[in-house]
Amino acid sequence: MGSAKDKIKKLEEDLVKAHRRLEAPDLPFGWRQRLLQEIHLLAETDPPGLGIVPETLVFRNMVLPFAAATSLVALTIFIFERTLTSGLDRQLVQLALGDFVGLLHLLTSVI
Amino acid sequence: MESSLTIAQDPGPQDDDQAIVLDILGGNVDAFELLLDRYQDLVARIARKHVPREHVQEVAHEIFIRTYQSLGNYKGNRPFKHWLSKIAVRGCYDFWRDYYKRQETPVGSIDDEYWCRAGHIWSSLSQENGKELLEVRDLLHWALGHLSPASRTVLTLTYLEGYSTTEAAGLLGWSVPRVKIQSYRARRKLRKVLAKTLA
Repeated sequence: MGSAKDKIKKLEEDLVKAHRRLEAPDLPFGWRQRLLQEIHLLAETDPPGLGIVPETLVFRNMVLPFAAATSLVALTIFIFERTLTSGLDRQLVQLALGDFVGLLHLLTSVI
Repeated sequence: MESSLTIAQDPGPQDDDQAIVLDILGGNVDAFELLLDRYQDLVARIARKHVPREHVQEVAHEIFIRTYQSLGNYKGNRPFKHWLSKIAVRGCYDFWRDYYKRQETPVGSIDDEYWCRAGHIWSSLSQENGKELLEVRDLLHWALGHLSPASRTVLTLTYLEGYSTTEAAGLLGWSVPRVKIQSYRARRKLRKVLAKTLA
């Protein structure tokens, strides 16, 4: 006899083998008839829905992404345009170049 | 480990299945019988791997009812067989959840009679000539009874059936890490239960 670990390993192997030898029982004709009766009953009282209706699918897959992308582009254009017209672009360049006077000017203009 | 049930590898009459589904959704309920012809053995096989023999009919019935009610959600972008297998595995998992809830005492509660039985089976297994398949199955059923429905289902898929973690995750609709963790814990618990039978 081996160690307890070996014994458990062996037992586990036997369990797996036993499990894999399980055979599915044949479902009898009566079972099938009962199931079909219930399906027919369901078809009358509660037929299967179409899940996600096409309109919802179109809205989710096309309208929403398009609206999001359009909004993003519009926001970018708006910010860019505002930056150009107010001369912020030049100020930002000055700032980037370490122009502290320009930075001060920018800060005071913002305040 | 080789899987005893292969899924998603057999393309099957996929387009045909989708046509049947559309036919049923269009109001031809009789077409459901075609799906039954094709897949009742598959469903019975899956159910048998997860639930005791005496509950197979009941579980298979519930699986097909759910399938019918969910037909509108079938997209046709993957084999019907795989879609149905997922419903079947989920149905078996739900069976155990309901079953455990119905029990006054937990399925895996420690029972002296069972412990003695397990000890007896173990001693017969220890002698190479004493293997009784039915008893081993009883032991397996009893040992699995100590696990939660989730652990039991995951362990059956990954360890007993040999599905990969990804396949099991797909069938259960869980994340791969969740399956890995659950499977690891379940295996550890099973070993502990089996170890007690040696004592």
